[in-house]
Amino acid sequence: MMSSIATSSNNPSSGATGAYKLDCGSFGEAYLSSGPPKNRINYVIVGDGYTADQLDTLLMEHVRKGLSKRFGSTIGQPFDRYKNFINICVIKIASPFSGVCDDRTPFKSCGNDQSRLCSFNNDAVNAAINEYLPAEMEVNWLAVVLNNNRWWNAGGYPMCWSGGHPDAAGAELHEAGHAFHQLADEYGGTSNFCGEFAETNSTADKNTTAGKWDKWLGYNQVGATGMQGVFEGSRYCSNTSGQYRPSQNSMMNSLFGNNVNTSFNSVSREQIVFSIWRDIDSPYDYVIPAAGAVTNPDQLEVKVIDPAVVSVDWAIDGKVVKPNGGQVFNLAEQNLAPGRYQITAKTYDNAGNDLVRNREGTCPPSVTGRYCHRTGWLRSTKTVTWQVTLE
Amino acid sequence: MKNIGLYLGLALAVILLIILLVIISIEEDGQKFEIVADVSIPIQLEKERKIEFESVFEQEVNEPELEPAKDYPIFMGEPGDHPHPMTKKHLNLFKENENVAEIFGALDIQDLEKLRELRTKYRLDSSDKYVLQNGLDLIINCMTNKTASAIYSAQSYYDTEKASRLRRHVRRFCLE
Repeated sequence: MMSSIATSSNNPSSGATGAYKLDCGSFGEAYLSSGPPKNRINYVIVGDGYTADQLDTLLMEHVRKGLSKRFGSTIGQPFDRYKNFINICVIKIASPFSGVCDDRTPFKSCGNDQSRLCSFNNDAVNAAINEYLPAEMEVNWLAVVLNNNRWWNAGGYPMCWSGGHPDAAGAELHEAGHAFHQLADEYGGTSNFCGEFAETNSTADKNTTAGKWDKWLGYNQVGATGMQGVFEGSRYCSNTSGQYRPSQNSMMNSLFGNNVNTSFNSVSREQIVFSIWRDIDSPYDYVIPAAGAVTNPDQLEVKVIDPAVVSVDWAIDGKVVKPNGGQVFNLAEQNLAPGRYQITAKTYDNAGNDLVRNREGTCPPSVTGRYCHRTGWLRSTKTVTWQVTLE
Repeated sequence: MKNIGLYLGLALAVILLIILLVIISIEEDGQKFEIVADVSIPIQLEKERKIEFESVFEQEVNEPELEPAKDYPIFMGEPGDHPHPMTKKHLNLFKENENVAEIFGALDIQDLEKLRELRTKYRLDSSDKYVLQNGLDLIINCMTNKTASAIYSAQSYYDTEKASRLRRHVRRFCLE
């Protein structure tokens, strides 16, 4: 099941050409079509301030530019790895006025150069989603892109960014880090409101990181943010306040430009993986035949979300006979005598230690009771069981 | 006699005012829980716990400002610059993100007691433009006692609240 960001000449904007055809409704365009919405992260982007003749041109150009670091770039990792876990719909509502900060635009978006925040009418966005999105789309991530070139962005829910700014792709990733992955800003300031918070990438404990990234200390994230450690200055706290971040620079610190040190550091990448799995129902979409009792099957099949990410270990009566054996298990190859067997397919995310180190699915004591995203990792493994009778 | 009549009139007006306030108060509570068909969690619980939390929200998050800010140059950002300052609105956004993340974390491990606590906290802290409160009510009901009416209410929420991030969780806990 491949997904793609299409550049088809039949569709001047984007459109998805993957095997799965995502339905984004009559006012929507499938930008990234990966699989059934019930088992994918569904990212919905609504444009504001685009006239009818700009919807297929400027809006889609802003979306493409805004997502250009998320996919196909070191800076956006781990999203390339998990691209097939994500569907993207762009909702196109025409505005009678090109640009924002005008009451006539559908979502009345605007911004402020002092706070650098964008704003919009939540109720109008909510109403548009309710009106135009197909019922099977379960929205996990929601964003508003503004037809505007100022530096107005916000990491709330929905997040928003100005589509015409030269660093829009960095803004889209940074604000999503806040909105969808609960990452803190990794830079200092003048705040005295410092200490141990729920965000996994900021700590007040430079020795243990309060259990947040102790397993990453000393790891060199080559080709990205470099050595992972404790660097003073985080969450707007002053550089002498004892608030720390995991890397010298990162996407959550200074995102500007194209230096690879503006990537997500290891702590943030791991958090992103956890938050993706939190919303995914299962590592596989379906199995053939259905799990349970089955007689004389030629083969068993598990259709995983992405075979490059999800491995399958096949076992007969508890003994693994085909580790990382692919999606299809051919019973004839096993030369089994007539009888009854329990055959299992354990599906799991094959992420290495360079991406995931906290695999227990439990939160460190510093955030226990406030919870964390690590519990999402528990959804990354699932086993299918068949009771097979061979006659 | 004239004064007695005046006093009686005033007393009557005060009584009527009190009755009016009580009616308004009851209606407000009713609105908060209107889509929950099976309220197995006593409403009193929320009222008692309200005093435990202090709302940090002084203003609505993401309300349109419509300030074109013509006098400022466009912030271009150079390597080393930081994307945004800390403002009250930023803190509000992050507080909302934290509250929602807590809810999802508690859902991950199906911590019913914590979900009830977070529901109360979220009601105070959040502008809730995306109807998470109602979704959370439904999920808690389904986890507590998955009755036919709880499922019916959940289906109604699932069919109508397409922008809610809890929609998937309503499906998981109530409709499957």
